Amino acid sequence: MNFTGLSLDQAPPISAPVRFFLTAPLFAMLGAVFIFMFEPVALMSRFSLETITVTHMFTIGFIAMVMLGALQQMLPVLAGVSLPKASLVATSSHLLISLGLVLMSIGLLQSMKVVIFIATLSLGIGFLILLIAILIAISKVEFLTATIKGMRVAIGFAFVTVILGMYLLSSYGTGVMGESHLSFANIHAVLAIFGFAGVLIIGVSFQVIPMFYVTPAFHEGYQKYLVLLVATALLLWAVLSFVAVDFAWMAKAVLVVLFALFGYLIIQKMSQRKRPIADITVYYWRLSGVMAILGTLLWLGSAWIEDEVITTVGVIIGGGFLMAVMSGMLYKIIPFLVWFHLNGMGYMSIPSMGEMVHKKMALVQFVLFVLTLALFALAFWLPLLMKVGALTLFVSMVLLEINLVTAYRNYGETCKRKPDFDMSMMGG
Amino acid sequence: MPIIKEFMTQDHRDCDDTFAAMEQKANSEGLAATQELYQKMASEMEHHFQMEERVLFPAFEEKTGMTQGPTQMMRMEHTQMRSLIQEIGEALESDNKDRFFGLTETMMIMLQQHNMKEEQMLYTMIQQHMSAENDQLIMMMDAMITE
Repeated sequence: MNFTGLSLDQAPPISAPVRFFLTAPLFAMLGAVFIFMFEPVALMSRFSLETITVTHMFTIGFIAMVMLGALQQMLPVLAGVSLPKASLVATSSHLLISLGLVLMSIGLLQSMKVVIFIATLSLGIGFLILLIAILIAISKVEFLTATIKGMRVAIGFAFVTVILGMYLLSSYGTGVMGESHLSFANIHAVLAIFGFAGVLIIGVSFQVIPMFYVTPAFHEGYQKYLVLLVATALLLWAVLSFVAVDFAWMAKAVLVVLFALFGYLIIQKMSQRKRPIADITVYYWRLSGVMAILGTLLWLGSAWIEDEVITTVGVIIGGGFLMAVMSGMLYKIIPFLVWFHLNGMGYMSIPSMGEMVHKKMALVQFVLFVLTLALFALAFWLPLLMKVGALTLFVSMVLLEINLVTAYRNYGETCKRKPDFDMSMMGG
Repeated sequence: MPIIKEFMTQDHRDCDDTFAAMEQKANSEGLAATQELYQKMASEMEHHFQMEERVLFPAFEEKTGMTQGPTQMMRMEHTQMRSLIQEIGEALESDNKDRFFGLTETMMIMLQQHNMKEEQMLYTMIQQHMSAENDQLIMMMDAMITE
């Protein structure tokens, strides 16, 4: 009987997920610098090279970074399985994805074909190494829960997203755009956001929200069918986009209803908390619930409004829904990992989770993030606000990095100081 | 008679509720008013740990021969939580609200991830191996007095 994941020794070393978590705000900072540098007009167009570059600083650099780090950490706890060669996989995939993303921005912005090809390979291999390792781990799970099923579906969509992404990026290298290039780009984007990120968030929140905030469980019907319905709507939409594009909006409407419903469920769960303390992570969950509803409804409406509104939709869904969830989770995961590993090593005099994050700094960081969203959304009418938003975003991400590094430093410092190594713990 | 998995899972939920009630009291009426609920929480938790350590785990270990596996890991996590409960009590004594809520947050997550491992894996395994002894084990756990 497989029970490896229950042991702390078998869990990945703390550095494996944390390197992903601490890299995320750095790429968001780079994204903010790009937004500041580029002409607002170039960013209004969805398929400009500037927009593509900026978008991926946030989608790969921030959102995917956090999700990949969290998956490595959660599989042992939620499913009792660990990744094969956890350290090697984490190190190499983190390096390849980071390098690939930097090269992608250089290659696209400077039109350097060779660099684009290297970026394609680096990103592709980086993602595939980790996704395959996760898939191997998940295949060993004995007791399937709604969360594990959600993870499996999300990883499936991640594969398609990555393969399509490699194809799309490499075609900027060859300079040959197939006639379906825009359709593929569209499918790549929608599967990445709703299939990979969206489904993963739904699946994980079934377990994590009741656990962190002591709320009633999600209704069994949602746990059983929500992911299934989302996946079906996504596949249907992708197929209709090719064979009967006039009807694709119907599948899109179903998708929108499902995610708006999920946004509502988040808000509802947050108001059913039995834990009275509304920390920064509760604010982030509430924000993401509201933005999931707003963003998806605007996405549905965008077909009938001006096409440019799609960048605003991207800001609201990508930033307001996805990045907000990720930021909130980072504020919980890193302090808990530090505490859990130190305590497991036998240290008793360590700060609690709540003492590792400076509350006022976290609040300032959150407020600046919300301000950024508002500025970017309004930039649709007043492009100058894009530059102001880039500044607030940059500061917000610097603060996020400082807050997370401050929490993580407790780990190294305690290990070095060895305040009170308690041998009695070792005997259990 | 309930089955072991349901019985133990329900006890988890009862402990969660007492824990949340304690936090709520501390939040609305201050730490001084929370002493009683703290004692209730601490003794419910201790009772649950001992039902496992003194009745359920030994029976499972004897039947399967797995003494160094999951049950050992769960015992270590009990030790971690016992020290947290004690620290929460100290924060209560010294009327340190920041420390109190910092610790209860840590405890809550520690507790929930521990519960999850038990409910989704260990109890399922125990149920598979011990279904014949189900009623007897539940009666023993129910009658057990915390030491």
